[in-house]
Amino acid sequence: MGLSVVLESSIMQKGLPATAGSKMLENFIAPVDATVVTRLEAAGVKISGRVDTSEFGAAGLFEDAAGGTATQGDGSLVFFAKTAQENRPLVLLCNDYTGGVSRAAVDAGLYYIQPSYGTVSRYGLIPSVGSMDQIGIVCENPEDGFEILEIISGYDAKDGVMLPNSSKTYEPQEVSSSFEIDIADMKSDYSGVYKQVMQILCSAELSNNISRYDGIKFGYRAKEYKDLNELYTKSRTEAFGEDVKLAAVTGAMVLYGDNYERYYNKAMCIRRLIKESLEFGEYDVIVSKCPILSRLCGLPSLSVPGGRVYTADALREDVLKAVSKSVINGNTSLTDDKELGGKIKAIRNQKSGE
Amino acid sequence: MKNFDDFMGMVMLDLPDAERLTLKGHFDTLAQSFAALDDIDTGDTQPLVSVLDLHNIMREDVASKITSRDELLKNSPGGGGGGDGYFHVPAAID
Repeated sequence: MGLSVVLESSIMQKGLPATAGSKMLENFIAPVDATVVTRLEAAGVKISGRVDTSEFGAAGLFEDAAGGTATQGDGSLVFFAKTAQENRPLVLLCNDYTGGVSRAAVDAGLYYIQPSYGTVSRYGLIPSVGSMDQIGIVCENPEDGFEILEIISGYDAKDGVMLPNSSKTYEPQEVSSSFEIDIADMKSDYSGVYKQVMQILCSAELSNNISRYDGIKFGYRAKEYKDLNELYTKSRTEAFGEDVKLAAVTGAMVLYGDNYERYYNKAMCIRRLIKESLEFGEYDVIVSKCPILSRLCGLPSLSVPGGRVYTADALREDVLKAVSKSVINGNTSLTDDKELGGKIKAIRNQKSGE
Repeated sequence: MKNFDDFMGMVMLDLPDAERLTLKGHFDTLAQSFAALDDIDTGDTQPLVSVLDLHNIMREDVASKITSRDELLKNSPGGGGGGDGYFHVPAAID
């Protein structure tokens, strides 16, 4: 295979630094290979470089907080990945649970493929938000991206949250790349609170996940401290960046006492309502400009240049592959923003609608 | 009623004043925006803990060696790679 890929620094390669973009892990050397690394190497795919993610992938999580002064997306990751790949078509593997990388990717004229949750092993991925962590693919050519997806997907006993019913969960089927202009509004639209649900769930999970960074077993340790408590506090204060600190504090708030019911549990209930409101079966693809939907529901999605995000039912990456062909072939019904009007819509595949 | 500083202490952070003010501003904005959830009636809806409909599957309890103790200790910032086989921490008892 002639393809090569670039890895985000949260994906471990044994013996190489794996920083997840954090000062906390600036000296951390990966003790194992991630499963995706093992599978790429077994398939003969060259790993041509590593690039730093935003710290634990949190860029973009709080973009609306305080008048948009927090970080916006993760354009630097995409820029440096393109540099690392030099003159080859870009294929970058990363964990984009906030949708920030996919936004930056489409702004740069690239595609982003988010696989179904539970189909690509996270073994060897430094955890951020367990219920949404999923290794996805930035690519210049969707065909390359889907080819890499076939290689890295499939059951892995080392990841305890995977679909166990198949040794190979991504099995492309033949799907027509013709799509009817049969666009409908969703019956229930919770898009007004996607952001809040995402921020609550991500803050809670990230806050818990980074509690392991105490300056003892691995990671950064402050140079001066009086006692053990000060070692913990100074190490974390000096090493974590702004987005991660904000996630830690916000996570503590939404999980504390009565706040658990008001914020965290309620966000999980709304997450269910969002998932149940999607009417796959009647339609094939949900179209929006918001990558959060697929992250919240664990569904596969394809982000395309221009900003549209196509979300399909679980394990229907084949539909997204057909969408990518249709977009490349210039199907304007899939790319004309006048049809979308800034809302979430559903599109029927011509073949399945027959 | 817990406030920003209480939550900051819970997660073992001690921010300098300027950074504390900035993050508190973001935190207050977020807390206000979370109130939008109050307007949604979730009725008897159960929380969606996992997006996958999975049951626990217990794998065989077979020991396997993923990496060595020495290799793991190399990542300890307290000199765990010094060869004595322990994590090094400051004294907790005077």
